[in-house]
Amino acid sequence: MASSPARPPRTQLLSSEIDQLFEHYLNLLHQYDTLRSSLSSLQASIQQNIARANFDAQRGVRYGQDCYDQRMQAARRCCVTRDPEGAALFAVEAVGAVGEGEGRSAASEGVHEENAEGRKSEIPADGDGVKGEVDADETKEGEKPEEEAEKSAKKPKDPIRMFGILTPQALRLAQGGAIKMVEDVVPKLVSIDAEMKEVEIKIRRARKHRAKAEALEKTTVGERSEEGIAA
Amino acid sequence: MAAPASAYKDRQFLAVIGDEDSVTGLLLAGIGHVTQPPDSQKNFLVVDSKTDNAAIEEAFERFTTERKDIGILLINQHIAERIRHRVDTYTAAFPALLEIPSKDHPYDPEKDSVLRRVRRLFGE
Repeated sequence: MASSPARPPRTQLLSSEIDQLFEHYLNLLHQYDTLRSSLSSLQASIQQNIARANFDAQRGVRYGQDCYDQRMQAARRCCVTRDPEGAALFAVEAVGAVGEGEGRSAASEGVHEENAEGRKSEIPADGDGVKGEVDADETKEGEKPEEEAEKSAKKPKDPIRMFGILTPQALRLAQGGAIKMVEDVVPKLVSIDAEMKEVEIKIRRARKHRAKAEALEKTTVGERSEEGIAA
Repeated sequence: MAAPASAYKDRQFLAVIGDEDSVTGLLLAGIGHVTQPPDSQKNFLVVDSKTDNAAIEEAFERFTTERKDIGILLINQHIAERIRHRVDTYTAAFPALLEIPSKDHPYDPEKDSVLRRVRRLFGE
C-alpha cells in the first residue's frame, strides 16, 4: 500500500491512516485467532473430562440436564463497560469474590474486629473494664447473625453441588477448565470482536473519504488541463 | 455511534444455547441462572437431535431481543448453522454473540462470522 510521492497530502494522509487502522486490525485478528485456539483446546478438555466423569459414574448416572438445579443462581456474572474509544469491554467476575457485597462485609468485619480490640485495649484496670468488655461482646453477637445472613444471601453455592456432594475428580477438572474459559477467554474474545467492529467502521469511513478526495483531485486536475488547453 | 449506558448496564448474565455437554460445562462454571417464579426463565437451552429449529430460533430471539439482562450469548457453532440466517442478520452490540465449538463439531473457521466479516473487508 505504498503511496506515490506525487499524491496530494489529503489522500496521502488518508492512505496512511487506513494503513495504521489495518495494522491495528490485523493485530486484533491475531489476538482473536490465538484466543480462538485456546477456546477450542479448553472446550475439548472440558468435554473430555465430562465424558470421563460420565464413563466412571455409577450405572445409570449421567452428569447432564437431569441433575440441573431448577433454582440455580448465577455464580459468575458479566460486566459491560466502554473503553475511551467507545468499544464495549466485557468482563466476567465471580459473585462474592470481587463483588461489592463481600468486599463490604469483609471490610466491615475488619472494622468490627478493630473496634473490639480497641475497646479491649482501652479497658482501664478498674471495675468499669469488665462492663466495657461485656458491651463489646454484646455488640459483636448482635451483628453476627446479620453478617452471616448477608453472606449466605450474597454468595451462591458452588454449582458442582447440583451433581452431588462426592463428585468425581474429572468433573472438578471440567469445572476448572470451564471457569478459565468463562472468566478469561470468552470476555476477551467478545471484547476483541467488538473492537474489530469499531475498527471496521473506521476503515470503511476512511476509505470513503479517500475515494471522495481522489474524485475531487481528478476533477480539479481535469479542470486545470482544460483551462491549459483553452489558454 | 456508541450505545448509551442504559443499553448495557443491566446486562449481567451469560446465556447459552448448546448441546448437553457444552451447557453442563458452562453451568459448572456458574453461569446458570433461573429467575424467580412464576416466570422461572432459564438462561440456557439444551439442544438435542429432537429439538426443532423453531425452538432454537425462539430461544435466540428471547435471549437477544426480549431479555435485557443478557450480556453475552454463547451458541454452539453447529447449532448456529441451523439458524444461520438469524445469526448472520444479528447486528446488535448487546448481547454479544459468540459461536463456540462442541464435542462432535470442532471449530470451523469457514463458518466463523468474524472471519467472514474479515474476508468481506479485505475483499472489497
